[in-house]
Amino acid sequence: MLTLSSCTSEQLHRALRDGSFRLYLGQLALKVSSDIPEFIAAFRQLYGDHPVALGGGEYDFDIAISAPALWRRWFRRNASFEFSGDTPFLPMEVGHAHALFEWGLNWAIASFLHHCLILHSAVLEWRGKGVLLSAVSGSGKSTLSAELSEQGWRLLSDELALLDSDLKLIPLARPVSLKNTSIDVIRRRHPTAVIGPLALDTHKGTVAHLKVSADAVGSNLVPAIPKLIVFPKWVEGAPLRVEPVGAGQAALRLIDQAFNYSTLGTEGFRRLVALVRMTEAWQIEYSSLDEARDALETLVAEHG
Amino acid sequence: MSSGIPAGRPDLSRVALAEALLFEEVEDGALIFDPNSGATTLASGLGLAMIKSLRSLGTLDESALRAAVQGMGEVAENFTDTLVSLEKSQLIFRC
Repeated sequence: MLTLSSCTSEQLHRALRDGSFRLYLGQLALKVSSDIPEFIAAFRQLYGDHPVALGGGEYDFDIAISAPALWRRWFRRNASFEFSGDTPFLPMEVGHAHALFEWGLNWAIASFLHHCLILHSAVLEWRGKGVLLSAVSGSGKSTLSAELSEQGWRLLSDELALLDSDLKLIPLARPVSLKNTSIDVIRRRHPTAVIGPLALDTHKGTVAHLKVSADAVGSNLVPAIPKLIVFPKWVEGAPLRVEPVGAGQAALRLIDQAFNYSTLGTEGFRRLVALVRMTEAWQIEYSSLDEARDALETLVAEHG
Repeated sequence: MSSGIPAGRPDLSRVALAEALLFEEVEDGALIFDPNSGATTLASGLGLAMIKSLRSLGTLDESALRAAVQGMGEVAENFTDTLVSLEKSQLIFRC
């Protein structure tokens, strides 16, 4: 199948302008439109290995990153996120357009994919075993996900765990969102990693995105079986601490991080109970990414 | 009517489990889902023993419930506090 990086610049710009561009993100097909050069350049860099089509076709989400209404352009160049013609967020400056796309896509998935139980959690796979990394914002989840992904773990998502009715984790491998100091941490540890442009002074500080491996993208139609739930927390200078978490406590912590548990009602409860019964849950506190990775690989080997 | 209840007020010393609760035991207690409110509670220890008793025996007087949980080996020292806590969670009600 055609990948984004194999399209010529002219083909890409034309398809993004005339509505015939499709991005395939695992089970999801996105119609993406844009006329903003800064976004198109970042999109091409970060989604280069993803399958695409230039001749239209069915799609699940209709997303446009475009210049907003004329009067706003008088102040500065902005970009809007449009979803099926609606604009759910305020425009942002064009330098944030690629970040806006990722945030908007997260919002769309969490708002509309209710055939899955959706948890705020990274999902990775190591040696065929699915691992959920569930944590509140600021716990270092994305940095740890980026590190594991660069060390050969398969990334399914750095942000959203999608648990379907067969209790499988649906992959959505796409760029990992790095914030502030974690950008340099990953750049230093993995000098060949592809990191997109910086979006400065966003509401989350400076944001940049790590391109995921072609292998992870190539496995985007292969679900993972959940085996471990890990609640990671990065604490500066802290020694490594690994402790088990009971299934009931794990369920409550996951509910706190769920997007659509209430929406799914009884089905959400049944799926969550099944998840905590088929997995083991642990919490780890760490300051060293190497120690955290070793600990996670040991947990997968011994308890996954 | 029990001695402490003013005349004209009903004696609410009987306790029942809320209807339609989903109950799933896990290693550290039981997860209980109330489809009416959407709330999920983790019960353990004495609270879990109370809920199990009410599930198996139906509506009970407080004294019978106390005896039932003691029969399950639970120390009923915090019986009243636990009862109130379950009532606040709307898992049980007085009738």
